[in-house]
Amino acid sequence: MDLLNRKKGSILLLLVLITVFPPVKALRVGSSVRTRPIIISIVPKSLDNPMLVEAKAAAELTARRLNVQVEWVGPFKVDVDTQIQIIEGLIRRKVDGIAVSCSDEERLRPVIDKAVAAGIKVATIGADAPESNRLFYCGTDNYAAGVECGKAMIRIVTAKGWTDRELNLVILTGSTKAHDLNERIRGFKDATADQIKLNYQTLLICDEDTTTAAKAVEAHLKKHPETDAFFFTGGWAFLGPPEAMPVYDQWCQNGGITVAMDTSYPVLQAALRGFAQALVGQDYRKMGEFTVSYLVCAIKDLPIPSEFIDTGLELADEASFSELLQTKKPWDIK
Amino acid sequence: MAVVRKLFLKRFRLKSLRTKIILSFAGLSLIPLILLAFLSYYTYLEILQQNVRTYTETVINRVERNLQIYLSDLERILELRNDYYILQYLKLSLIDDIEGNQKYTYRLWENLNNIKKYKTDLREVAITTLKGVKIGCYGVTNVDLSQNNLFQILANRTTQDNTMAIYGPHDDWLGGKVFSVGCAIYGDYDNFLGIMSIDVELDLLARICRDIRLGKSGYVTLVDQNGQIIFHPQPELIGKSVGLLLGNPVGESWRSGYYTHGNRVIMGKTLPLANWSIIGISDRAELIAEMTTVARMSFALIVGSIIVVILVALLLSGVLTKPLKELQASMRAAADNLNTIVPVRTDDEIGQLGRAFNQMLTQIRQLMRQSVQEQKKLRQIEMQVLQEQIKPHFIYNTLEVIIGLLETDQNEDVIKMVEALGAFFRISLSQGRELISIKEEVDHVRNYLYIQKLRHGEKYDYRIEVEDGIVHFKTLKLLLQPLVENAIYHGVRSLVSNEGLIVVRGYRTEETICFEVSDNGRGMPADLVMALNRSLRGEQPEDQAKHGYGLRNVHERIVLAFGQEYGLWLTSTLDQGTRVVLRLPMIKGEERVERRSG
Repeated sequence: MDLLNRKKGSILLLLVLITVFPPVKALRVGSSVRTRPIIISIVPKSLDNPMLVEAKAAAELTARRLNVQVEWVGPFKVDVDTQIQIIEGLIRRKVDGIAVSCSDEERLRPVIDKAVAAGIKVATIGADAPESNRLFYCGTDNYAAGVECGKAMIRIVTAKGWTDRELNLVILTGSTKAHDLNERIRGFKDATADQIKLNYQTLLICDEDTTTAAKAVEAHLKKHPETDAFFFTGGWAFLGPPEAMPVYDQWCQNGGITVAMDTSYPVLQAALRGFAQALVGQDYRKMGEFTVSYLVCAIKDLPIPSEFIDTGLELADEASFSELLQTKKPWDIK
Repeated sequence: MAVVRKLFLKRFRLKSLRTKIILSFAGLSLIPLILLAFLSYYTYLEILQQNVRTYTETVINRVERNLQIYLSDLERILELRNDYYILQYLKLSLIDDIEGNQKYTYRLWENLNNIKKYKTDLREVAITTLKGVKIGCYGVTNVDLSQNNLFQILANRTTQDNTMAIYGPHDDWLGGKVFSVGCAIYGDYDNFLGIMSIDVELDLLARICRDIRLGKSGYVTLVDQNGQIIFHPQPELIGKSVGLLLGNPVGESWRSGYYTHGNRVIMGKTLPLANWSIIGISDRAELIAEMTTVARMSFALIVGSIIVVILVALLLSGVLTKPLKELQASMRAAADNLNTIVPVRTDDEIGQLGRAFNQMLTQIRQLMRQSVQEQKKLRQIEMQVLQEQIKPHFIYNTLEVIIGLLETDQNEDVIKMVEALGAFFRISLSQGRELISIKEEVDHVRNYLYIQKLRHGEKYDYRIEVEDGIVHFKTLKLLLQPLVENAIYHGVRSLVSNEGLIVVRGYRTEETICFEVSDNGRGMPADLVMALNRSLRGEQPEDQAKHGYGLRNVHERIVLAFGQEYGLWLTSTLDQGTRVVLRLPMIKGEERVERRSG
């Protein structure tokens, strides 16, 4: 935590410096060449993921503060082809910075590199493409998040006294191509290995869609009521109305275990209802804020502190759900 | 080749009835066929042009209707611009309320994407604020309003003119070809808040127009209000001036109406909602090609019909002329053989002609037979006449007279007598000629009378009065001598007194030559005269006629030679005399004596 606090301090100091003393070179460049304000385009995996709305608001507020324009452009549903098309469009428009949340790191790598080659400052946000030429990644350490989820699972299983049992576990993920989600799974598996006996029944894929996620879980439980535990690499299944998951509700009441990523307001509400026993959250606001800030730094040729801008993790369990919910702003977007 | 030509000419002589029938058939069929072909050609051309025009018009109307329906749909979608969430978003955007707009942002993304999903041709449905923020199906972007033409069009309109505007085609920021439609959004106080716009894939126009074909190569193209092509089956022409298709300089006439330009048939119609023009372009050459096919077919039809007509004409003319040819062949054969009979197979005019020809042949044969008999009879009569002329008794007596004259030394009379007898025989023979001049005939009678007068002495006298104008005409020989002989032996010789007179007169009445031989001799009773005349007319059988053998011979010769209207007429009064009238035709030159009538 100390390290995290020190990092936060240095970032804030940097932002103050950028705001109060804009770099001379950047001004010169801006006054001689630029005829429009700096434009930073953030390309999420999809627009329909409400969890990112917080990141958008933070990014816009940061942009206003830094006197730059921020755009939020992406496919409505997760669709790597549209993402690529959008980035191509941004390259043509010659925006100053792009932050991409990669739904398929392999597919997106070439277009990221193309944007970089076109002189655009490119970062990744939330979901990384580490093999690309992006400047930095701003978001959660997804492997660490997976490890935390694994640890939470161990704790719950141990508390239930099921350590000797082989548990049927199902992973629900958004995509097999997304680096962030795969890292979470990797962390989870590494953390639980040799600690508890898990039989990975299946991998459910929901394309990061709330409705699809809920339906996939319901369908699986109807077919496999012997399932003991779920690991959700995102909170998609909990973003819809809980009444849409009666089988899951009953399964939870029967003692089913679920550990999920995300601690946004609706997810915490679902957890309080008994839909999850442990949550590991991300800080979307920081993602939006830091991404814009460091891209502005990059555009103005200021140094970036690290290739990985960690926005930290938020851990919650049944004991802290209620308290944590108090700190969250309720969503009113539906 | 010459052989073929000869064969052809032989078979189809131009003046033959068959050729005439064939030509008539061909002509009668060809003229209406050609007229029909021309009429059909031009009627078909007109119908084809009318059909092309109607079809083009229908196609263009269909395109217009499709576009109109589509644009009307878009207009209805744009009615959503007054949606509460949109207005709220615009209002909060004006005051930069980022946190407050989160809810509306997400809601708008969802709504706008639902609209986009509803119509697959839409690339973007967006709201653009006065601050240049554009929220659409792909999130939120910033636009330079001064460069946004659609925004400028709508911003410059009034609230009264709050209709849909169209701009494009143009490239959207994602690299797609689109055209944009949009409507202005006004606030509670008719204040302009921004616009709602829809970007439609240009492929939509292609989808509406691409598969439309006018003929094989004709097509539909769309042109915007500036004369730029916004759709063409050849994508490389999109964005170019319509002048490339219609030729420069381009006026405005192409926007509506139907006309031809070069090898193209063009029909234009303006789409009012967008002020675009829908142009249908057909290839005239296709029309002509189709007409060429029709013309070829017509030509083939005409040629085929002519061939059929000629074949039918050949067949029919053969059927029709076959009896005529048979008739002709029979006629030719009849020239050599009058026993030929024309076969009559039909009851039509040709059959009747054949029948008539057969009847004619029968009559000819009959006449021929009759003629032969008559000629035979004529010869017999002539022989008899000659035999009569050279009776031994006549010669003996004449010679006795000559001897007597010699004994009495009347040498002068002997000489005259011998000369008269010589002339008598010479004319009697006449070198075998049938006809002699009247002069010779009269001289003959004169010689005869001279000889007889010398024999009979002063018993009677004679007088010959012949008009000079008739002596050069011809007559059968030896006609008068038997009449004079009758007048001598049955008339005047037996008279007691020596006052007998024989008068031979010759004169002309109209077209007839008349001779009268009259005497003042014993005459005949009326019943005998009637019997003789009846015998001459053939009303009394020959074997029953006891008298008038010489008269009958003369009469028959005349009738056989010249016809029934000629011959002898006898009148006589007992003890007063007899008159025989002989009527002959006027014959000039060396005409051959033929039977003139039956």
